[in-house]
Amino acid sequence: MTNIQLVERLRAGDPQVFCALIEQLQHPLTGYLHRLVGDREVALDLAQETFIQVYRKIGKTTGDLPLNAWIYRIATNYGLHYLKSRRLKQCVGFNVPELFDKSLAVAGPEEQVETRILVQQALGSLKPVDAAILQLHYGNGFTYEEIGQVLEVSSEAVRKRMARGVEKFRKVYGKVPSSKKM
Amino acid sequence: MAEYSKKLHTTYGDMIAIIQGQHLEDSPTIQQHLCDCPQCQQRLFELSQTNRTLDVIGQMARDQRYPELSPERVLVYARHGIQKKIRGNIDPDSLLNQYIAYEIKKIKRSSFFAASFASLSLLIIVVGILIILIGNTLLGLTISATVGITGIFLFMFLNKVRKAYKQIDKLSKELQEEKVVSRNLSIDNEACE
Repeated sequence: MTNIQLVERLRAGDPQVFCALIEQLQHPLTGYLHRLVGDREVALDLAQETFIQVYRKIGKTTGDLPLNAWIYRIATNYGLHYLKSRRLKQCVGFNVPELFDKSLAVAGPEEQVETRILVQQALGSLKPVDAAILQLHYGNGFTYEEIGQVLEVSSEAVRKRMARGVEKFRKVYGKVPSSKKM
Repeated sequence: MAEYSKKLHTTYGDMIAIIQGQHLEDSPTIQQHLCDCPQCQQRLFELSQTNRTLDVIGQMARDQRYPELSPERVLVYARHGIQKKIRGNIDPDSLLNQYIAYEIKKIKRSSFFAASFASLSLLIIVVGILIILIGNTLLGLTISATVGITGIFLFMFLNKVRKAYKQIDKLSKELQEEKVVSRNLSIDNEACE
C-alpha cells in the first residue's frame, strides 16, 4: 500500500488500517518518546495520546501527507510540551522526579549501563528540540530530510541544528569524569 | 581551493557529514583542508568519538521493550472524546466507572468555583442593597451587573453539569452495546489481524 492509499484509508476511518498503524509504529514511537522525556510511563501515555490525535486529525489533512513524519511531529510536540511544563514545575519548586528512569540504561549489555546513563544525562541537558533531533537521527535512524519533515524545517536547518546539538553534547559529555566515559 | 584550505576551518556540520559518509558538494576541498589542518584533524577525531558515543542511542532503541497499546482502547478514546485515559486491557464497566468518577470530580471542582463566586456575589449584593438604601444609584447599577454575571456563571455551570450527564449517558449506552467495542467498531482482534 502506498503512502497516499494508506492516508486515504485512514482518512476514511478504516479501523483495520489504524490497528495496523498502531502495531507498526507503537514500539519505535514509544521508545523515541521514552528517550526524549525520560519517563517510561509518561512515554506510554504520550504514545497513546499521539495515536488518538492521529485518528482525530487525519481527516483534516490531505492525501499527500508524509504520514510517518506527521505522526512523529505530533509525538515530538507532545514530548516537547511535556518537557516544557516539567521545567516550569521545576522552576516554581515542585518536586519533579529524575529526568530519566534507569530502565533505559539497564535494558542493554551490562558494560554499557554507565555510558547509557551518561548519554541520557548529557542529552537531558541539551535544548529539548536539539535532543529530539539527535534522538530521531541516532535512535530512529531518520535522515535529515525526514527530521526536517517532522520539525517542518529544511534539511539544511536540520544539518546545522544537528551540528550544534552534537557539539553541545560533546561539551556536556566532556564534563563527565573521564573514568566514567566509554 | 588553496585559499579555502588555508583560511576556513571545516564546520561541525561538514565534519559530521564526513563521519556519517554523507555526500558534500565541496568534498574534495574539505578533504584537502582536513589533510592540511592539524586543528581540524583533532576536532574531527573528537567528533568521531562523540559520534560513536551517540551510537549508543541506537542500541538503546533496539533494547527497549514496551507493553502493547490496545488499538480498541485508542479508538474508543478517540471516537468518544474521553479525556481521562487509562492504559491496560479495556473493560467497558470499569472504564465507564472511571469516566464517571472523572466527570464528577470535574463537576465538583466547577461547583466549588461557582459556589465561591456565588457567595462573593451574594455578599456584594447585600452590601449593595445597603448602599442603595442609603441612596447611591451608581452602586445600584454595579450590583445589577454583578447579579447578571453571577447568573451567567451559574448558567454555565448548570450547562456543564447537563453536558457531563449527557456524555455519561451516551457513553454508557455505547459501552453497553460494545462489550462491544469490537463488533460495533469492527475492530475486534480478527479485524486487527
